[in-house]
Amino acid sequence: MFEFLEVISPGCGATWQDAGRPGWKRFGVPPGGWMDAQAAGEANRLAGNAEEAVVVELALQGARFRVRREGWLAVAGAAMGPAPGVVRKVAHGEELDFTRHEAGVYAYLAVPGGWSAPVILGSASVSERSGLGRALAGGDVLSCHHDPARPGWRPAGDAPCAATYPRKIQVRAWPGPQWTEFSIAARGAFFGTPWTVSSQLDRMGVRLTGAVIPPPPATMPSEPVLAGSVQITGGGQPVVTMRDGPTVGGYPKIVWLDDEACRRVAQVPPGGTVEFLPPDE
Amino acid sequence: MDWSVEPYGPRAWLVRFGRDLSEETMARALAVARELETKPPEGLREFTMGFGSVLLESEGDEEAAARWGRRVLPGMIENWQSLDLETTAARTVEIPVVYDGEDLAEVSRLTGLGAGEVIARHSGRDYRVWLLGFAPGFPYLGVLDAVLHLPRRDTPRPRVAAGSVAIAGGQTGIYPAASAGGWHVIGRTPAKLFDPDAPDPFMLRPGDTVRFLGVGANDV
Repeated sequence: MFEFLEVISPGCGATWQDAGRPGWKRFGVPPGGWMDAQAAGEANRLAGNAEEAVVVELALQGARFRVRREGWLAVAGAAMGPAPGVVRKVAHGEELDFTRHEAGVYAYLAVPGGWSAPVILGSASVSERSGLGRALAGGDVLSCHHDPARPGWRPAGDAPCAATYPRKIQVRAWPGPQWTEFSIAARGAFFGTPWTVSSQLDRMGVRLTGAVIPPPPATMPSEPVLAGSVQITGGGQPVVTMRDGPTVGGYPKIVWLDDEACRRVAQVPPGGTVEFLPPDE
Repeated sequence: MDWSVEPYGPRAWLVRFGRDLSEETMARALAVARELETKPPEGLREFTMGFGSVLLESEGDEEAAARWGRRVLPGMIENWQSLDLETTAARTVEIPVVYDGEDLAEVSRLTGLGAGEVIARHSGRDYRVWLLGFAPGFPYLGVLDAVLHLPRRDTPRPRVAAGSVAIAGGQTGIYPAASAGGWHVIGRTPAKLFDPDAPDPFMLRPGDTVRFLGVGANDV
């Protein structure tokens, strides 16, 4: 085992993530896993790893690390300081500051050969609220399986980052289970509003503001919720259910977003806007 | 009984078989879950139970899922109509509770019952586990004494401690891990509802009977 990075501060949030934990929803275990599979995959590709290797996921900004030994480190996803889309050699004693938020929400760190992270129910993905592991904290030391300075492959050098993280996006929506129970006016307001991403966002859900969508009059018993569902709370506010969201819930779901739409929403920072395009009829 | 099937994205379906929280709806849910557990249909990636509903997620890409939805799903639901609903509780699990929750006084005020009476009514009957959901191992237990039925708290608490025993609507539940929560917390238990390191990580299963035993703070 090689001790590579020491956490000085986790910032707004730093966790181990991989593809998640399918197959446990009926026990109340959310799917979990990286918020942006594309960016996580890019970090792993840059590091020369299999795409499903565990990565460190950083939220928004503020994370700081100290390098314990020389090695290659790949960064992808949101821009918070160190350039994303880059794999480079970091030096012993160097400090990595993800403290300047520029774009996106989630950034990913990968190391050639892979991180050594605890596996729970078949996955390293951490969800503290679910009692699945714990988030990284100051003083934690992140280790990897191989000498990070000698990855056994020749790094291609900096790869230009293809992904961009705009503050305004449009995503196509699928009808949700309660789609037809919302009034025509409510659906119209939902699609006609440029929704602002609030500061209430985490791995469970992203709360949007901008209008009030009148929920259907009938209350419903709790039913299963898929990640990507846009639920309308009692107060008429939309919440996009994310990877660590509850497996069942009692709010009506007006639309559902597929994985690609969901990861794009996840990367819109607070203050950015999301517009929903109606389902193809 | 009306059965309805609705697509939930291109690879999942929500099947509903009861909107009321009746014993019959629960018996049907348990029967469907047992069927899916013991005879997992080919091409089914995962299922999730709700109250009177089940979510079915298909394996494969959109095309394969559409095929599954046409060829497998209708026959499966057809078979579920004639499932044996006779359900004897799998197990009875006793759970010790210290009734000193932060919302006990509020529940007492809202129901007009003394705290002792709230405790007596909560611990005075057996509950069935309807389903596990919301968080790993969180049991939705029913049905609560009608006098104790209260809507959720207007403002959810940002943090409810692990082991909190709480009530909302016709249900009572136990928070396996600390999390935000909107239910009224009336007590706490040392029981470990979810232990990911244990050979069986989940203390309870749908269909189990749960009996709460009031104990003193020094007994846990």
